[in-house]
Amino acid sequence: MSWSYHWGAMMKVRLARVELITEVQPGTFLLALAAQGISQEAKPGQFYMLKTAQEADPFLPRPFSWLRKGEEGSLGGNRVEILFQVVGKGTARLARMRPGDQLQALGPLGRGWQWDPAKTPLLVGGGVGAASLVSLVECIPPEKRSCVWALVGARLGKQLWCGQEMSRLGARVLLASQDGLEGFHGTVLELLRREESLLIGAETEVFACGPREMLKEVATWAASRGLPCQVSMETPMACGVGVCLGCAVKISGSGGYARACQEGPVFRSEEIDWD
Amino acid sequence: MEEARPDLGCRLKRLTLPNPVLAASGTAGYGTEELPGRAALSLGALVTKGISLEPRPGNPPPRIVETPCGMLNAIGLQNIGLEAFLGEHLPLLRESGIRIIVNVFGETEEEYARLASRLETQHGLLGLELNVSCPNVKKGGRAFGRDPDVLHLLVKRVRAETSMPLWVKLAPDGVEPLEAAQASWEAGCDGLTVANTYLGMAVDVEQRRPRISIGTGGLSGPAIRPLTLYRVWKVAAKAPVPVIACGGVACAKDALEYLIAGAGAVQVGSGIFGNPGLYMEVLEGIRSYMIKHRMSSLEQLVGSLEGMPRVSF
Repeated sequence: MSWSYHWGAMMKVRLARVELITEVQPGTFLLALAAQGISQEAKPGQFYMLKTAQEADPFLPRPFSWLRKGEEGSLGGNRVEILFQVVGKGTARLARMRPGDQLQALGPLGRGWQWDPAKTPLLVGGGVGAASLVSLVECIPPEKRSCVWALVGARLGKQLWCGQEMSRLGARVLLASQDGLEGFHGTVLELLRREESLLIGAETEVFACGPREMLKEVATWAASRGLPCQVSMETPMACGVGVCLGCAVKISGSGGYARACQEGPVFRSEEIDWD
Repeated sequence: MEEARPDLGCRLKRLTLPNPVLAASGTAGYGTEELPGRAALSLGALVTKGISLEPRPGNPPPRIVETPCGMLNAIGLQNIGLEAFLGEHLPLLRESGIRIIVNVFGETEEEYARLASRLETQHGLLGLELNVSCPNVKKGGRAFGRDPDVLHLLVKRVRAETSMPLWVKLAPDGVEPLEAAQASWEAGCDGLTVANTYLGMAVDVEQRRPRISIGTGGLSGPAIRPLTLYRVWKVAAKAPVPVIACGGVACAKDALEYLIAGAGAVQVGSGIFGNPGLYMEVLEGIRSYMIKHRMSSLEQLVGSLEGMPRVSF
């Protein structure tokens, strides 16, 4: 590898303008960002590091999977949407952004979902984590989306915006809520086990995104049914580009770690040491 | 009248760098990654991630957590090991022209000595920086840098193995900084990096568990800058070798504080994570300051602090 080849990968840092920010469900915001070329090369499952200001607090940028590029048929690559839940001061600050405000966006970063068109996706999403799966549905040609099964679960029935969005994009969606106010009354895992005869086909591949415990159970379930499975791992990150080694994910067998920001965030489920 | 461009050239004892802005160990990878990218070429020098003789897997996650104006990290010295660094990264670094200082650490004096003698024979490296904040296995895991006598022997041993410029990166806590500094310069080091991260903790109150897997981590970021600035001033006032400041630089003004307090150069660390343009921002900020204050050389800036009382040993 020569040095000039090596420099082919350039920093993808941009000042992005907030086009739209709206609370789509309690505590969850849809943020649309505009910047030249921001989503030109974005692959489903990749992420961006966002920082609202050059100030010491919050100190670090925050990683967010992208949700959509925009309206269908007008994918200019200059717009990207992010879905986020307010959990701390970084996201609280992000929620206070207004149209016209600017923020720093580094990305797209990482290795996203690897979708083989010969496979039939079975998507399993928990909470806001399902946003990363919306990007996958958007990247599947519209005529193929009716083959996609998507199961989306949340604690509350009013937290299932991602499921509704996947349905709007043309996927077959089943919802689960633990309060029973929307869809199946229970967890997305219970729904998955209950409906599995309907969901599994000869070419099914599972794509899961959500809390670690949920991913572990989905991975175990998929392995026991002989289904290939990809998972998107959420970890704290500092740099997002592979230098700080903060986002370590334990890899099975080797005793070593992979970086969620470089080798992930999407991994084949058997690569992960779940214990 | 045209303003003269100030000379940012930085003389650190035997080592001359084009400017005093350096990338701190552990925040710029091995120098070949996307971050710092091309900006690495504009740096005075880049200090690599800490390298040990053998590869190390590092600590289990979670390894980092954000804290007020900073972050805690416990990466666990994960690195690919000396031979992989020499085989995979050094050829690229030589081709690039990036000025490289290699940060090294070991668990025994012998390991440090072997690292130094192996790196001594490699061309294309500017110098070594010793990380002495790692556990000394012969002393029950107490860090080399927290015991001035142990530190003195370590630096002396490494000094005997290499003629390269040798910096010691001092631990900021658990030891009187000036004692550790003196132990190092008396053993023949060429520079003192002041300082490293400070031991700290964060607790998840809902789970009642530490937010870092191994319980404690090293605190970096603007939160530590006043603490390190004090140590830089204190050591620089006495040391016969240059002090390289390292701690919480997030803008040009922060670097200027260190230079004015006596640092001969400044390392930029975790601040780069939130601002990928920080190296250039600091470099240009120092240049603008020198133009504004009609300084033609860096020597006029370094140690120009006034109004401080004398340091007593």
